[in-house]
Parts: sequence; C-alpha cells; structure tokens
Amino acid sequence: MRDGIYEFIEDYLSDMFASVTGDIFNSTLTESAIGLSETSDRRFVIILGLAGQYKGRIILETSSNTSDTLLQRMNFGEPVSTLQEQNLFLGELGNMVGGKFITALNNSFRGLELRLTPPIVFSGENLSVITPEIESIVRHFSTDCGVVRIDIGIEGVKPWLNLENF
Amino acid sequence: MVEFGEFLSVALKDTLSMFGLSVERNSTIVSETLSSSGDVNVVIGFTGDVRGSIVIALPKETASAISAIMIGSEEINLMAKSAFAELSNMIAGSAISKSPRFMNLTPPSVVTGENIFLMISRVKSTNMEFNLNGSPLTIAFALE
Repeated sequence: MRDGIYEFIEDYLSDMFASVTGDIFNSTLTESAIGLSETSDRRFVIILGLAGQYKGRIILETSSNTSDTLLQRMNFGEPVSTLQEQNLFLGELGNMVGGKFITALNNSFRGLELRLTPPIVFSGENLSVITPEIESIVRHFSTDCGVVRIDIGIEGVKPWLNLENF
Repeated sequence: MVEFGEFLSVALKDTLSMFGLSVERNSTIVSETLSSSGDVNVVIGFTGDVRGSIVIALPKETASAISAIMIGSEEINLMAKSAFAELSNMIAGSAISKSPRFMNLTPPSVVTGENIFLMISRVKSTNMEFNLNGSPLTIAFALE
C-alpha cells in the first residue's frame, strides 16, 4: 500500500488542484517547472496536518501578490485587505484543497482513515518551513493568479522508492 | 480547554527539566481566534476525539538558549530546528497522554522567518505565556 499512496498522489495532485482552482478561481492550471522566486518578500504558507493510519502534512505556499489575486477572486472581486481576513480566507482555501485531497485518498485506500487538522496560515518574510524526517512530493502550479507551491509528505513513506521520474 | 492547558503546562515543565531548564507560567489569555507570532514556531496538529492545533512560539533569544543546551550551538540551523521539532513532539505527546480524550498527533513542522503572523482557527483559543530562564516562550492551542 505504501508505494501506491505516492503513486496516487503523483497522479491525482494536478487534477485535484485543477479542480479547486477551476471551481473557485475560474483559473486554468499548468504544472510549472519554475518555482516561487527566491526573495525575502512576504509569503503565505498554509499547513494542514494529516493523521490516521499514517501521519503527514500538506503545505501550500504562495507569494503575497499571488495571494492577493487569489483572495480577490475568492471574495467575488473585492480585495481582502487586512492580514487577519487574508489568513482566514487562505485557511478556507487550505480546507478546500485538503478536503478534496483527503477524501480521494481515503476513498482509494480503504482503512487509511486519514483526518485533517484545522489549517494553520503563516505569513512573514524569509519564511522557511521544515518537517524533519519526512520526504515530500513538491509541485509548482502556475495559475492565472501566479505560482502556487504544493508540498505533500507522509511519515514513513519514501517517494523515491516508487517514482520512476524522481 | 483549561484542563488541556494544564496538561500542556505540566508537559512543558517536565520535558524542559530533562534538559536542566526551568520554566514559570506567567499568564494565560483566552482569545476569539488563535494567533501568535514568534521567530521560531513549531506547529503540531491533532485529530481524534477533538481536532485542533498547538503552536510553540519562541523568539530568537529563547530559541538560541534552548539550541545551545540541546545541540551545543546557539545558531538556529537545520539541526536546531530538528531539535525544536523533537522537543515539541515530546511536549505534545506527554500532554495528550495525560488527556482522557483520544488524540492522534501530526508530525511537527518548524516555521521560521521575520515579521511572522499566524492564525490557526476561528474558535476560541488559549495563549499561555511562560518565562524560560528570563526568556519568553508561548504555547498557543485551540480545540475544535
């Protein structure tokens, strides 16, 4: 089952995120070879924990500019101005992405029984997030609003064991 | 909520005492939303009978003091972050083992940066301020 989980994530990740961005932001999606630019500018990071048969986390990361555009679309065209509101909206975005992802994973792997923790949203400059002892699948997606980085890691599951293109 | 705070407080004191560190509780603030800010933040979520999150927030000086004792260097490098994650795992694990509720912890994530603002939840949350040998340390948690 372990190998299968990462294969599933690899296959499903793009479709899952495309579905969320299509539904909410009316935005098309392409996988991007170019990641987020390495700057010290303010970034937003959404962390969702996973716990059940396995443990892990989903991290979504985006720049402040991309976040502003995403949130304006979420808010029916109105800008989301305060940091507190921005964090609340991004938390909802995290819930949508995490909910879709975990439902698909639980439906495909019976007995996995993964549950999501509430989303935690960080914003700051020179942000760095590490989860020790977890190997991740990292993908960058380019949307009309900008680039979003998704990082998914599950404890004890090694992506390089089963990914031909890793 | 109050009970879980007590479990966390005892777990923090017990765990830090293993490293020869003493900690005093200063204040506890219950707020409408959980927000916190520190230079080094360790985040642990949990699911089970209740869902929620714990954030252990350290300013640089506290993080450096703990790092010096745990790994022998005040620099907040990858090894120090890994040590903070393990320390936080011990604290959270000890707290949930005291709780009568079933809780399943997620792996700790360490977030560092500048001018950090974080928000976890819209539900009522508790911020506990501690004094670690003269340096501040905050544990914030929210149960849904």
